[in-house]
Amino acid sequence: MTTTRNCRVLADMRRVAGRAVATAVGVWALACGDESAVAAAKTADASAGSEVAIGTDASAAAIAEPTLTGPGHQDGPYVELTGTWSAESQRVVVTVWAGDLPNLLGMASHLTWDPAQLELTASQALDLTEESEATGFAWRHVLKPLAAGRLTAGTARFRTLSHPYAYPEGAKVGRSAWLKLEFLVKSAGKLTIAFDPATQLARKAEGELLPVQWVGATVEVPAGFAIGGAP
Amino acid sequence: MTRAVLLLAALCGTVAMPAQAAPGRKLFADFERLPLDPESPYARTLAAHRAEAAHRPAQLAPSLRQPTFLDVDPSLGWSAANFSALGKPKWEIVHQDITVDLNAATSELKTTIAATVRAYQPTVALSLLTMGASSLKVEAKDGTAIKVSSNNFSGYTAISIDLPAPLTLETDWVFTTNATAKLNCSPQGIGLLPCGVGGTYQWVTFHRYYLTPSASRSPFKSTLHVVTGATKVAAAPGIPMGSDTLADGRKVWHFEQPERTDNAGFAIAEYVQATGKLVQDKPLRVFTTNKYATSAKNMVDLATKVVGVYSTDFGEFPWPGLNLMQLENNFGGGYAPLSGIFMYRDVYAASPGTGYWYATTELAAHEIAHQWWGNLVEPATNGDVALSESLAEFSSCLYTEKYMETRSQIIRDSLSYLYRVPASEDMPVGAQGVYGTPSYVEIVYHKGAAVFEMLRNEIGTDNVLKALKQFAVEYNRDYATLDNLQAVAQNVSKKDLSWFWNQWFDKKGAIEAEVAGRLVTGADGGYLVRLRFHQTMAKPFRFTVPVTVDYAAQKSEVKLVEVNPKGEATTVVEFAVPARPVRVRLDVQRSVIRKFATGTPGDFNLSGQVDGADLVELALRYGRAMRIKAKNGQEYFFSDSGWNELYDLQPDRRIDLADVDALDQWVGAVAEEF
Ligand SMILES: [Zn+2]
Repeated sequence: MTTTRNCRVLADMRRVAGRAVATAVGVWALACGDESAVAAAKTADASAGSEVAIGTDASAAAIAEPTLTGPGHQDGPYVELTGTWSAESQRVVVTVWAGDLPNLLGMASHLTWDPAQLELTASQALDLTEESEATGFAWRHVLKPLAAGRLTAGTARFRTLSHPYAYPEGAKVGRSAWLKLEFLVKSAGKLTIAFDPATQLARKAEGELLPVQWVGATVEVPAGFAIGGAP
Repeated sequence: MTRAVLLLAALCGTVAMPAQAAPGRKLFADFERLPLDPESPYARTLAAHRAEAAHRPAQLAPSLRQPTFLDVDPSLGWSAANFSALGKPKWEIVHQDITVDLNAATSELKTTIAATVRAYQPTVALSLLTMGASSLKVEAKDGTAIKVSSNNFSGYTAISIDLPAPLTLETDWVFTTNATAKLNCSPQGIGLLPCGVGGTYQWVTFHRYYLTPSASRSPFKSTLHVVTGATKVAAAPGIPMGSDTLADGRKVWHFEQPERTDNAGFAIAEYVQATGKLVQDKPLRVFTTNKYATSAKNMVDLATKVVGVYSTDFGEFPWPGLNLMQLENNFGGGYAPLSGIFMYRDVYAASPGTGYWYATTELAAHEIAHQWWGNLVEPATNGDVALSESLAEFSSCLYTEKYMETRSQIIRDSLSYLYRVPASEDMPVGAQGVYGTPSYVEIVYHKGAAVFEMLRNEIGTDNVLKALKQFAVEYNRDYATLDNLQAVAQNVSKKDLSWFWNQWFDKKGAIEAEVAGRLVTGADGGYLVRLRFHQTMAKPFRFTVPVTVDYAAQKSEVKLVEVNPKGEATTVVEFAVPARPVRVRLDVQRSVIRKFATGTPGDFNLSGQVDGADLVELALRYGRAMRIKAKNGQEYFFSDSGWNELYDLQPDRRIDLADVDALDQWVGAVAEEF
């Protein structure tokens, strides 16, 4: 992963923070010295599909870094993971994507992994569509570790004004980054980052359940990989 | 590393703590009486109910209260009994022949009443009430003048007749009273007579209007003659018997009331009639001015349908026919004497498919229900007025639920009591003095209806209807008490309902409970939903609450859960579920008079843990409010039928971003063990 890419991610975070809509506990904290990258940043949506999972990167395996592979989704609404190893921050950097969601009011799940192998060091929830005072809506997020190896994430769309005639309205989500997570590698081996099936939930504005493919991913830390280390 | 990352690292190593309900955590918003949003359906309902309630003189301030029969002569009171055998009072009025001649220009009402009196015990003095009479003349059947003395009470006159000799027992005596009254009208009858002498409509409605020895104890058959101008038409309850033309060109319209009742009234306008046929081909007549002749057909259809439904549910429509009469708009609501209904003008202009049709249906269904509740079965005492008003409103709610496919009416009624009645004005629905509270309508009409609604949870809708039908048969043309209805309901359901009657009719208040949920694994490895209800009031309520359990793939089931605290503050209930629930919801249809708050704060889906799913649940309820702010900044009370206080985590009667913010601090909290 390049520094430029980290800067783009940071820029996304600032854009979110600037609208004061994110309520996540953690904040994205990668360093980026290049302010011009912020100004030039595109939205998370615009980057759809541009981030390549390490497992598909031919150069990745050669340098024996941690890799993340996800099986990918079928047609229809999905939530899936992509990830990279950031040499600069010395972290596994994971993006949770949500896509093909018609009329999404909100969704939630618990993400689980083996805490003996990965330690969550930063997390951030992102807006799934661009909202502003003009659209009259805002995304609100819940993001909090419940235990080691278990993170609750929830996101829902609210009107910025409460009024009896202001019924909930969902949003169409094409493909959008939902969560950004950063893990410290604690031991070598293979593990799964998964969405706890009992906690998978997505609803339309009318309250109807929205069937979603919750696609986890496998993280592989090569045996010879240097564990830990500060960024 | 930034400070934020340090913070997160600290949280990462922390296992979520159980949610110890913060000491002094506010569960519900404070009572605050805001002005009504005049455009809201609730404001319209309340106005209509208040207008109707104003026809009860006991609504008046005590200083203005009309004297009752018992005030005049307590020795003449007798207890409730069948109309057919009224317990043999000392004497009674069995028939009245009434002629009214209303001069709209002078607001003068001339009344001639020939009252047929029958005595069962030696009687030398009769005490009667009539409208305020400026001149009064009483004579016997043979024309002999009879000495009377009278007392005026704020618009009413109590007459004492001293007879030269005792009345012959079991023989009809006819006394004729001529009186002239100067009307001081108020369309809604507050402190004044409910009457109107406008250019379009002239009318007098009052259930104790005519000469009667008792406010509520002496129903009589009657013949009514209404004198009108040459171009006008009179309408009244009973059977229209045509009209005659007087020598001066004016007309006199005749109505026969073959049933015993002390409810009455008449109206005069340039009425035209729209007619329909009720069950058993009984005539329905809708009297409106010509302008409303077309839309009146909607009212014909509506009334026909409602009468049909009630005839099935509560027993055959009991009267020879039904007359609906249009009055001016400032009449405000409806008034339903036996076989006649007066309603304000605009409901006769409503048409199906419009928003106003709901209000029209609610009102018409309430007033039509009074043909059973209040007329066929009459409340025996002031403390039994729920048998009239609560049942009429409940019947209307049943109708709109089934045929308008909305529960908004009953939910609005429940919320009206919960959010509009301050503790200082609260009284039991069955209190003798319930008329006296300024919250009479919210308590008797609204809470009373919601109490009968709750009975559906206890004995089932079928049994409620069966009990009401049996009650109407057993007490037809009779006075009844709430206890009489309890006995019938118990008989039908084979359940002891004394606790229910005691809790909801004899006591005031409503359920307030903190509710926590947990999902636990049963001995067989299956799931159990465990719920804990914590009620902090002195006497915890017993109730049955429908619990909706939602599973994956849109599967759902409703369990009726009995909460029987037996005096304890905390009640824990549990039930097995076939799969892991997606969420558990309480009283989705709002059929319980309650305020619930989350016992594990923010655990809206009652899973036992506050997490992202609770945010999604909050989003579904978001925006609902019992208070709204107008553009000018004015805050109004607004009754939102989608309201659920459970989600008002930061209690202010608005489910808004403050509640979303409040949720964040509880994320990760898990339910205490119970
Ligand atoms: Zn009524």
